Amino acid sequence: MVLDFGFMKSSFFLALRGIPVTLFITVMTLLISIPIAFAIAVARAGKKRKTLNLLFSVYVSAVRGTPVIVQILIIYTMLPDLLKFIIEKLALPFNVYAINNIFYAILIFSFSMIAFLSEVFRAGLRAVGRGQYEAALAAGLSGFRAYTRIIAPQAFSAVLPVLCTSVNNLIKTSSLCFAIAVNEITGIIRVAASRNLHFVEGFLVIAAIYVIICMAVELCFKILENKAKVHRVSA
Amino acid sequence: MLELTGVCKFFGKNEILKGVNLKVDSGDVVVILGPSGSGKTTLLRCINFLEIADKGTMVFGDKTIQLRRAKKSEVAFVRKKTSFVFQNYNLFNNKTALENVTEGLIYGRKIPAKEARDIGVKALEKVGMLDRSDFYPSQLSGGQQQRVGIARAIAGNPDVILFDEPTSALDPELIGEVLGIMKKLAAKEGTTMIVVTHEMSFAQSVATKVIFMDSGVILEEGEPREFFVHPRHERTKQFLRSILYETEYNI
Repeated sequence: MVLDFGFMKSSFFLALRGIPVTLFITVMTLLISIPIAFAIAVARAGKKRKTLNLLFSVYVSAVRGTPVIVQILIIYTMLPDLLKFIIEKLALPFNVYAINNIFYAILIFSFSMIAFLSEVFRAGLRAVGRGQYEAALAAGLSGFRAYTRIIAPQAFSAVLPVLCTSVNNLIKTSSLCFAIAVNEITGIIRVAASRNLHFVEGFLVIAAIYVIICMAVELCFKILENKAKVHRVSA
Repeated sequence: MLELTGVCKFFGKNEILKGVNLKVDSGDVVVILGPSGSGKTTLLRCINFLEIADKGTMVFGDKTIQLRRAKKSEVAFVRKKTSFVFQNYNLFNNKTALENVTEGLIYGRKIPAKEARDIGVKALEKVGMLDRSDFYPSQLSGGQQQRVGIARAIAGNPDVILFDEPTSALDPELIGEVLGIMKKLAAKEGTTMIVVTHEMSFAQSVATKVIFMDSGVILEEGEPREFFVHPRHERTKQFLRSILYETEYNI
């Protein structure tokens, strides 16, 4: 088997155009899901939240128990019709079919990231423990300040390694967007390769690109971890 | 200055506090003794609302507060007038020693950062930790952490400091440095304290009032000399015997 290096080179530059889309989906998803997931984790950490806990554990199990591609297909086939129905009911001057598929992708990934990250943050909050929260209250801080100043920074630094893995997973999962015709890295190359049937070359190129992106993310998290290290109690 | 009446607290079906009354005057060092599970710590935690009592009133200065239905403003008032020293120090692990002291001043009491820093430096100096002000809790020994904990407690200039077994988690060798600071606070500064402890020597030498609790009630209270020399209650005698003379057993 001979690889077409010319095509590999041209598809490499072609795929670069998909990187901003991939990163946009990733960053937007994180911006939406991190605050919500953290709020859920905090709410669930409180006492006497039986109904809330049950509700979220069902949600988490549902998200965990379905393949992301299935989630994509369900939401993508269901949501536009649903939106259209609502828009027509309310007679809004808005065309459902003008919504870029990227936004569906962000919505779908946020949906599963919230479930996943809320579990991660729950573990992080538990790692910090209740004592420092009480100490903050006793020192006169409000509950909100206690979380933003004392608890959250430590919970975040405790879960940084897991967070790194989930960000990388998200970047890789975003490749599934080709199923709804979003022009991210995988989608672009799939289309390009189908023209001359050099699929192997194209896929090898995008594999390399994903590796590079994910390594860059890992590096960023390593730097963050080193910065956060000083806070952590040496075991 | 601080008076509690009829404090009751349930954990589930267990009644931990069964109507406790406590009066503390300015300058008092009240030591609460008692076996574990007697409700000493719970009582202390009810004072600054880390636990919400099921019944009882608190008179603090000129304010009367229903413990069960305390308003947010009342909780804030009491927390401003008191401070708490924890058994496990509970320092903020993401803050330096100095930041541990100033955090509550800046974000709890709204004192400007610069002023808070000066207060923090003075507080750390009082507990002999000024040379460690930039260290994180993970870089300090237990005794040093508890000294920072005390600095954090005195910095807000509270009316009363609540100590919850401040030396129980410490290595025997480190207990002295913490007790020494507490003694100094009582003697030199006249700080009002309520101390839950098992350190009999501290109770004997520093306390102005000793309280003995057992199964959720105050069995006996009095001046330390009276209390240690002539305990009235049989349960108190038994407790003191077991603690004071535990080393005399020969096996």
